[in-house]
Amino acid sequence: MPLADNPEILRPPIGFAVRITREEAIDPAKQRERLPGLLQFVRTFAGKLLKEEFGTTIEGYPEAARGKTDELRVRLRDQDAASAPARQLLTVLSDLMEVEIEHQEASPENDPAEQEDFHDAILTFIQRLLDRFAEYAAATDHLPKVGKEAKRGGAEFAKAAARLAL
Amino acid sequence: MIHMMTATVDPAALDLIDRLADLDHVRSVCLLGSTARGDAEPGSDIDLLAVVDARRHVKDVRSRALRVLGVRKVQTKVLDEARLAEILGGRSTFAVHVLREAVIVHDEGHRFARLRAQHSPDAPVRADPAALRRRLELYGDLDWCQGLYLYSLADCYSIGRAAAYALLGQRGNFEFSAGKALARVAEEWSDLRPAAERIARLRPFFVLADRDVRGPLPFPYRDRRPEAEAAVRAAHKLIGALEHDAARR
Repeated sequence: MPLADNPEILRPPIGFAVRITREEAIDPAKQRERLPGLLQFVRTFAGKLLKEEFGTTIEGYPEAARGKTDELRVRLRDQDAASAPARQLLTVLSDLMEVEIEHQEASPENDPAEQEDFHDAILTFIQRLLDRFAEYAAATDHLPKVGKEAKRGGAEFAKAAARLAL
Repeated sequence: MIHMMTATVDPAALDLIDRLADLDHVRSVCLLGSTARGDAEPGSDIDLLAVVDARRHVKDVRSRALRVLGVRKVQTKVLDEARLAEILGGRSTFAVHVLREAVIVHDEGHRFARLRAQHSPDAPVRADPAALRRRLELYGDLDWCQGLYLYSLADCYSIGRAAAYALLGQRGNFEFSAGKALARVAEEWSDLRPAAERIARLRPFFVLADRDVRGPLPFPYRDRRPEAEAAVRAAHKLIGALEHDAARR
């Protein structure tokens, strides 16, 4: 069953980015503390996307999920030359999973410098995920609404990242 | 350089440690967790702590550490000596676990052993309930999970387990096995029993999410919002008790 064309799936992360962009005064440290919510979104989104669009179930996360995502990407490359948008989307998901693996291996106590790097990387990758998903959706005929929302989300993330970097 | 009895440790794990110890700038390697305690189950993670001489080498060593051994996941924490000293001085649950249970397998110049000897293994844990509360804040809005509650259930287990370790540890009762710690909390605080038991039941979700090992689940994780909400409440309850206990100290 393909992914439903329902923009609600992207509501939480885009809402997060919009709040950062619109709030008059923001505390970057506080916003970064809230970033784990985005990781939860990535897991959920990856789970739904892989199962409903590609018939691949992931449960173990992030290592096992990354392995399955990479296998799927290779399979698509070998089977379908026109699968470039899907493969690029899977590459971003795999990169996000790799960032999480590295973070899990980081200091067990919060090391401020590592946390900062991690949070900046997550914002960048989620923006890329939304952009690539918009491209993937545009290459299909069943995701017009959610694809459009992803495009808007990518732009909101770019603005939010710029504001947090100030 | 083997400093302690490692006869009960899987030889493959020892080989892994030898390879880690051979890397440039690695000064000490210890076993942590269930493998260190000798109560590892088949498929349990292998938890290692590698100490390097300087912070600038942490990332390089981390990138070279193996992540799997057969079907077992290998979690290697890499710290520089200065950061380790800071952590041990903070007396977090992790610090006290290292002080009490780390099995030293490789230790150039006894540097780790000397550092460890500067701290009492018996002083109480200095808990940080606010950090656990922040982790749980995420599940204040379960809409983020979009009906897939596997990772929220797994995280509630992880947070609740950490609260149980800290609750016991700040009273000077040290238990770093999750099942035993949660059972002990249930025994010692009758008002926490339902919460501790609920958290303990979530372990299969944690094992599935963390290790991709599927055992019998107490309930399906899709579209079970009431169970996900109850798990969040149970974790809140344990953190609340931890806050209350910490404030009295």
